[in-house]
Amino acid sequence: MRLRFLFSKRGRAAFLPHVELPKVFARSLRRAGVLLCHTEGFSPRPKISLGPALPMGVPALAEPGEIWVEKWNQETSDRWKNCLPEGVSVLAVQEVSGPALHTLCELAAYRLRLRNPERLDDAERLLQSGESGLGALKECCRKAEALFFSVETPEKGVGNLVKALIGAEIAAGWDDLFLLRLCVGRSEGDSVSFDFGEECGISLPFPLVNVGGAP
Amino acid sequence: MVFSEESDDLWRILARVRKPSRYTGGEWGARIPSETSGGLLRLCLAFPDVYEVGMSYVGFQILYALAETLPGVGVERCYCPWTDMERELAASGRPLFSLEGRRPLKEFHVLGFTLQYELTYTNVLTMLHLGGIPLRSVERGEDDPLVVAGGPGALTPEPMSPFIDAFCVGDGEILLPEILECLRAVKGASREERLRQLASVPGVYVPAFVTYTPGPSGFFVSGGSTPLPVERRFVPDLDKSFAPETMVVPSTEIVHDRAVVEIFRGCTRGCRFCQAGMVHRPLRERAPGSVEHLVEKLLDASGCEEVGLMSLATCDYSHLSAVLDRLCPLLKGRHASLSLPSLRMDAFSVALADSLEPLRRGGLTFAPEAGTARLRAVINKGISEEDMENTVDETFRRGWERVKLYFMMGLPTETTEDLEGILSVSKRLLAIGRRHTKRAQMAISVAGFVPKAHTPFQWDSQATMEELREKGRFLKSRTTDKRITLSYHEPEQTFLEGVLGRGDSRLGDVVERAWRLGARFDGWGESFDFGIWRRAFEETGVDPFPVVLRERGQNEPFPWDHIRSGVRREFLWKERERSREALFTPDCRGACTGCGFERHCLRARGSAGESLDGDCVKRSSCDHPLPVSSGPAREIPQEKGGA
Repeated sequence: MRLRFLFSKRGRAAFLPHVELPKVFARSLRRAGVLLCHTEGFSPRPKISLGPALPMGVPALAEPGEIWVEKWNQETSDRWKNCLPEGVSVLAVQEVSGPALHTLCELAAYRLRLRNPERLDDAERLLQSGESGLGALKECCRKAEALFFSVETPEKGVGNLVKALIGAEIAAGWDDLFLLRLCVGRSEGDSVSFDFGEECGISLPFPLVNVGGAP
Repeated sequence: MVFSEESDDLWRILARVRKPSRYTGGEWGARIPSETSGGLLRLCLAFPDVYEVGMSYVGFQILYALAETLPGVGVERCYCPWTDMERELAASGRPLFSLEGRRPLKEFHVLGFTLQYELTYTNVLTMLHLGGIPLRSVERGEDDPLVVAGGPGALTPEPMSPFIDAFCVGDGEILLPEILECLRAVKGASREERLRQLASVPGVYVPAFVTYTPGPSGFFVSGGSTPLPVERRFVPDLDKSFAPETMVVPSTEIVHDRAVVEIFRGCTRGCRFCQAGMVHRPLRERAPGSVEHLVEKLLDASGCEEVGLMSLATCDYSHLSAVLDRLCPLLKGRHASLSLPSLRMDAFSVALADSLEPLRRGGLTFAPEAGTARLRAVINKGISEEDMENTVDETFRRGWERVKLYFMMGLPTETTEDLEGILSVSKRLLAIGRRHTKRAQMAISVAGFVPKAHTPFQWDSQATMEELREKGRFLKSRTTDKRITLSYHEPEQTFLEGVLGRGDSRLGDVVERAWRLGARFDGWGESFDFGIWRRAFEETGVDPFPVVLRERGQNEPFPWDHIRSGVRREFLWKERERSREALFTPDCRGACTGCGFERHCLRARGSAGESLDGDCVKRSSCDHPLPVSSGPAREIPQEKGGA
């Protein structure tokens, strides 16, 4: 049984390395009493796939993931939500079929703040220039002292952008900026939305210009 | 739109340091203690090494879960920040904090360190300093925490005695509730009074109340206004003492990342070099039903995919087959695997490792410890050449392609012949492996021997750094076969371990001076700097050489004489005499050797039930043992139970 879920990674949990997340989810599901499906072969691992990797220190509001389990119902879903470490929350779970997760991850939307907000214009120019180290820029807008943008090919890690910002002397290092991933998904009008399984009709759109505070 | 992360005052620091998740906390199973009406007695368990090492230490998992059950106690944890984080904290002026409540260490009532390894001692000072606590007991005021310490280091407390207010000697399951109860009763009393009360708890040693006299082995404790000697405390029955059914589950990679159930404590083999085997007596086994219960509870509570059955020599467990049979369905049903960290060197162990590890990851590791039968008799490592050959044969036959062997150099009575024995045994075992596979490989690791207090070798001289380096080079230069790799430990760390392990209270000055000169994480090759220690010895005028490089007289007073492990000094001396004649003393499950625990052993046997006696008889005639670990060996302190 293939489950798709959306999760957030907030607070200091943003410093969890991406490679540790499958273990975090597998262990939390086991604590919830869920039997996981395992990969074939000599060294079976729980079958889990996650969206494009995030560097340490980037909180995320809505990341997609998929996990294969033996059995599932609403009750286990609720239990799971209570078995996660601090800062990691599962927002929605749905059984799905059809195309693989990564084919749905066409865009990623971010919010960027700099310690020195006067450099935001330079950061915006860097993003527009195509030298950002990211995929093609889809949208970009300024709101208050933050820059909101979405890019294609989200597997090109946002760490590249930080390197470019440091290279252009817009920021001195990771501690000079605050990056946050709003969501990963597909373009839908002027928002990025994640298709959460056609049958259930759940979709979580994140309009770029209007994104709310912490969920 | 505001995100809470942006107002986290630690965020910028976390964004700069290596492995920031070391400092973020929030693991499953960790809780911020909730306030109670009467106010909490705040305890911070402090581990003087990095998070990945400290989180692998089972003792803290036990004590954390235990403290949570104690009324009126709030428990949190802290690990030693790596040097980059130390610099950041110092520069920001922010005190070192607990992971749960991010509370500065100085705001706790009790700071509980564990002293697992001598080369973590300077890290204790780092944590005190960053936590805003005066380093020395005498400098602490009424509002400073009481700094207590347990673990094997409490059995040789003097080098750390200036910094530790009270040492807890023995099993934490029995000591922690008693000292916390004692402190709750005298909350609000003066520091002096609280320490007085602590000193009246059996097993607690408060250095402030003793007097020292100079002797040939340094200063020793000659008296004081407190009950002496301090007798080590131990839980008589593991099944009746606290065992955790929950744990703090790490979210990031740590050294030993699994749930752990301790199946027995103590060891009956009597290896003469082994401090753990001497100071954790008597043997106490957990009943199979209790093991099964704990495995099930811990797996379900933690969600871990692996559980380890821990002890000093897992195959010595009387009920191993019974427990494995019972665990099998339980593990299968959860897709969980089992690890047995210390197996002995025989066909049964290899078959066991085979059944646990369908994929031949890495190799198997064995510890013959010495290269000749004579020297193995000296150290009482009861294993014959034939055992080794059969084990290695079985290992390669079952498909492994690499065997790792642990040896020691600088053992008492060692000659060139014994060193050559390491080489010839390795070659012979490789040849056996090559009968099964052309790809057979041997990895030989040779550690410098450190004579430990409370063992039969506590009277012995340690090999000098020059001797150890020479021995290492000798072995290395004679290892010509490409399929054998040989590595040896750098002798400086071995030397320092010996000095801090058998030193007296003057070593406190050296530890502090070395720390002030920049000694950090001395157990880590990348940060260890012997030059700093050399200077610290010079500047304090403490000569380290007589501490380690001198054979001691039979009746000479030792700096640890006021701490009793429970094993008789006469027994240790007799074992030392026997070692000089290369006389082997068999496993004491067969015949009692009169070490000092006779009464407790007999009582333990009488109450354990489950045909332990029958097993004992069979066991005494069984093949010779040799510890083995099926996992990759790591250069870090081993996991140990208790605290």
